[in-house]
Amino acid sequence: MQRAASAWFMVFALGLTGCGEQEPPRRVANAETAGADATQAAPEIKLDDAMTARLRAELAARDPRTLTADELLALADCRCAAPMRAKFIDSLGEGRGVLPQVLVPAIRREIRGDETLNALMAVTGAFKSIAAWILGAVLDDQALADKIRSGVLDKIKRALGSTASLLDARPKLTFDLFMPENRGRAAASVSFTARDQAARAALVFAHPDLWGGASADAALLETSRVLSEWHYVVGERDNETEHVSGGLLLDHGATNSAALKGYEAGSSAMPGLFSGSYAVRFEKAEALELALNVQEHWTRAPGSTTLEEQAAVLDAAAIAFSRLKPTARSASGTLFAPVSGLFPGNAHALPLVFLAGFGASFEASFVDSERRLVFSATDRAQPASLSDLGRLLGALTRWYAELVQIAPEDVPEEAAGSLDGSAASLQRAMQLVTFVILRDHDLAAANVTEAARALSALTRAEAVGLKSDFLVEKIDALALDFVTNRLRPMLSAGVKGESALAAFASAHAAMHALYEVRGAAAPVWMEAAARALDEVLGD
Amino acid sequence: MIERAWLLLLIVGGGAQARAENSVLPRGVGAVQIGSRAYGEIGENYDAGGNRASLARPFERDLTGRSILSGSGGDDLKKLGEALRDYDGAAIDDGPKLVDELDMGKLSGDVKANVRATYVGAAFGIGHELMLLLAVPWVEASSEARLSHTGGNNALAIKEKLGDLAFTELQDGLGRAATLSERDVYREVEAAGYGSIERWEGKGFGDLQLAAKTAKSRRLAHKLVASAGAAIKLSVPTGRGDDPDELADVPNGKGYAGLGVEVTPRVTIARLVFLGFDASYIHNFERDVERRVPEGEETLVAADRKTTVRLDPGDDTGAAAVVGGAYKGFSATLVHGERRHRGDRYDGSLPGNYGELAASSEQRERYDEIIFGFDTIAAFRRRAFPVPFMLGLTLHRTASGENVPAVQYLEASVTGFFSAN
Repeated sequence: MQRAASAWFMVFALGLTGCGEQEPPRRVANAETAGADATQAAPEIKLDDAMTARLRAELAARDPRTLTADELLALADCRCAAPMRAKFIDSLGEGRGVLPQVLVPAIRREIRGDETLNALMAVTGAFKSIAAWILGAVLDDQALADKIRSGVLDKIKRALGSTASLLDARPKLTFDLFMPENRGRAAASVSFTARDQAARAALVFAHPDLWGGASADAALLETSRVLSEWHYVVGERDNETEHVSGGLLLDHGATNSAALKGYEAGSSAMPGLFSGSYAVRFEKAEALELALNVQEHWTRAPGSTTLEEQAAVLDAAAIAFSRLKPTARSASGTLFAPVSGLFPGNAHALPLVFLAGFGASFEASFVDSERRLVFSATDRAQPASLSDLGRLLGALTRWYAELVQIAPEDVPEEAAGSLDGSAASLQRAMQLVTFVILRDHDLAAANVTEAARALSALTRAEAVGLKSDFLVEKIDALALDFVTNRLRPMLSAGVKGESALAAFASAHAAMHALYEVRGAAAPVWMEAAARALDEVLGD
Repeated sequence: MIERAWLLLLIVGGGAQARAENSVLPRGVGAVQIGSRAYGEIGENYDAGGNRASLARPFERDLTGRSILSGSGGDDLKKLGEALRDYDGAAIDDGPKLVDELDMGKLSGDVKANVRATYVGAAFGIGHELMLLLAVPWVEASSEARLSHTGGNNALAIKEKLGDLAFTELQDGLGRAATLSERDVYREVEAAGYGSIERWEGKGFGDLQLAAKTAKSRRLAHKLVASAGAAIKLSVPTGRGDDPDELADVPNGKGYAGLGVEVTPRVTIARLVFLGFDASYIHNFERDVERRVPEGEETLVAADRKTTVRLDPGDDTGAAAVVGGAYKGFSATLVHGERRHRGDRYDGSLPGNYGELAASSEQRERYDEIIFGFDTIAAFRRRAFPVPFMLGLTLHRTASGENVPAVQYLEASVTGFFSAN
C-alpha cells in the first residue's frame, strides 16, 4: 500500500471560494513571435485570442455541473480557460461525485490521534455513556470540521505564506460537503466514475497556477483532494492498526466488484485498473462515529473497462506526474516538506501506479498484436474509435516525455528499477496507436473534437517520441485539411452537432501544438490559417 | 521446376518412303534404330498467354512498392508492402504514398537448360502389315540459373523517412530489403527445402514407348497411291517425373501411363511426292504422385506441404500436316503440327490450393519440322546395295505454344535391319 507521508486530511471539506479567474498565459509559436503584441498579430496569437474568446463565452454559458468528462478533458488539454475557481470546482464535485471526506484515511487518523478524544474514549463502565454524551457535545460535526480546517489552514499557511487568500476566506466545512444530497439521510451513499475523477484530476493538474499565482490556493486544495482520492483508490494501510482503507483497483480482465483490490508498492503483483463506476454505502452516524468506526462497502457497476476511460486516467496521471515530480516543484518545494508539508514527498509515486496498471493490461486486454488492432474495451468487441486513440496517444506521449530522460531525483524510491524500459514500451505503444490512426481513421470524416484531438496527439507524438519525416508530411496534410475545412467554418459559423466547448478547446490545443512544433518550418497550412483568420476575423 | 512439359515423343522412324506410304516391316524382319536428339540451349518458354518469356521469370521480381504489394517479391516483401500501404491508410488522401515511393530495383535472371536425349528403338514385323515397336530414351539434362539485381534501392531512405514511427519489425524488414540481392532468392529457395537453382543436373531413362502399327495402301490411279497407317501406342512411366523438391529440374518422363491411337493417312504421287496428316489421341491414367501443395499462390511452397496427391492428368492430342518428296533414296519432309495436353487435376487430403498445383498444366505446342532422310532400302531390294539402312536428320522448332518450352532440336538417327527368316 501507498503509505501516507503526511496528513491529507485537510482538503476534502474546504469550500473553494474567492479564487479569481486567471488570465491564461499567452502562448506563442516560436522565437520570432515571442513577445509580439497580440493586437498586431502574428496569426497564431490572433487565432489564440479568437478561440479563447469563443471558448470563454461557451464556458460562461454553461453550468459547471453539466460539463461532461470529455469537455473537462478538452479544457485540460487546452489549458486556456482557467476554470480553477472555487465555485467551479465545487460544482464539479457536486455534479459528478467525489470520495466522501469521512473516508479519507488521513482524516480518520487525525481524529483517532487526538489526545482529548482518546482520553474520553478511554472511559469505561458506567461513565461510558457520560463520556459519549460529552463527546457528542464537545466534538460534534462542526467541531470536527473546525479541527480539520485549522489543521489544513496551518499547513497551507506554512506552504504559501500569509498572502494566501484562502486563509481569509473562512470556508465552510462539513464532513459530507461532497455528497450534499445525502446529508441527513439514514444511509449515506455516493458514487463516482473513474473517468470523471480523471477529468477533474487532469483539469487541476493542468492548471498553470498550481504552484503559485492568484488561484494557487484553490488549485492546491483541489490537488490535495484529487491526490487523496487516488490514494484511497490505490489503497492505504495504517501501520498501527493494519487496517486497509480503500483499494478500488480492478483486477485485470475482471468486470465486477469482487475483483477490487489495493496495490502495495514494491509488490511483485502489478496494480489493477482504476476503472468504471463506483458506489459506496455506509450507515448514517454522527461524525465522530463515522470517523472512528465507519465501514464502507464499495461496489463497482459490472462492465468491461474502456480504453477511453483508461486513456483519461493515464493522461491525468501523466499530467500529475509532470507537476508533482521533485524537479518541477521549484520554489514550491515546501509544500512537500516532511511532516509540515501539504503533500507527501513521494506524491509523484502515485501517478506511476496508474501507468503500471495500464501497462500491465494494455497489450493483453486492448491489443491484437498479430493484426495490429486496438480495441475500445477489454471485451475486445469493437475496434478503438478515433476518440479513444487520440486520447490514448496524447496520454502515452505525455508519459513518454516524462520518462525518456527522467532525472534521477524524479524516480520515486518505490519505483526504483521498475521504470527501466518504460520509455521504450511507451514508444512501441505510440507507434502502434499512431499506425492504427493512420491506417483506420479518416480524420476528415471525424467531428472537430476527435479530429483536433488526434491531430494534436500526432503532432506531439512526432515531436517527442516518433521523429519521422513521413509523419510530418501527414501532419501537415492533416493540418491543412483541418484549417481549411474545420477551423475556418467553426470560427465563422460556430460548431454544430457536437459540444462547442469541447470543439473549441480541442481545436485550440491542436493549433497550439501545430504552431509550437511545426511553426518554425512554416508549412502550407500556416498560410491557409492566416488567410482564414483574415477572412473570418478581418484585419 | 523450370518446365513440366518435356514430352519426348520418341518414335521409331522410317525411311522417307516408309513414311510416305505407311510401310510396315515384313514379317520376320526387324529394325534397330539409334538416335540422338540435341536441344539447343533453352532459355525461354511460352506462357499461358502464348507469349515468349524467360525461363527465369519465376525468379524475376519487380521490386517496386506496388509490385511487391501484388506479391511480386514473395510473401515477406508483400507483408512489407502492406505495412507501408497501411501507414498511408485512411487518415488523409493527400500527399505521396510510401508504397509508391518504394523502389528496390529488379531481380532479373537468366536460366538456361540443356537437354540431350539418346534412344534405342526396335521394330519387328509379326504378321502381314503389322509390326511392334519399342523405344527407350536416355535423357541427360542440366539447368543453370543466374540471377542479378539491377536498379536502385531506396528501402533505406524509406526507413529513414519513417524514422521512429516504424515498428521494429518494419525497420528490420526495410533494413534487410535495402541489401536485397540475388543471393536472397537463392537463400529463400534453399530455405524452403528446394535444391539449388544455380545448377541442376540429371540423367536417366525416359518413358518406355511401345506401339503396334498396321498399314494398308491402295493404288488409286496410275502413280497415285493412298495409304493409311494406324498405331496403338502405350507410354510406360519408366522415366523420372516432376520432383517436388526441385525447382530447376527437367523431368525425363511424364510420370504417368498413357494409351492411345495414331492414324497417318497419306497420298503418294509417282513415288516422288507425298502428303497427308497425322492425328493422335492418348489417354493418360491417374496416378498417385508426390507434390508440395501450396496454400495460396506462393511460388515457394514449404517443404512440410509435401504429400502424396492424386494426379488425374489431362489427355494428349496431336495433329500434323505432312508433305514431302523422295528421290533415289534421298527425301525431305515438312511437318507442321500441333500437340496439346489437357489440364491436369490434383486432389488430396491436405487442405490447399490444388488449382494452383495444376496451373500451367494445360499445354499446347505448334511446331515445324524438316526431316531429311537417306536410305538404301530400294537399292538393297534391287540388290544394288548390300546393306539396308536409313539415316535421318530432323530439325524441330516450336513455332508457338502455351506453357511449353520454346525449343529447337536436331535429331539424328540411324536404322539398321535384320531378318529372322
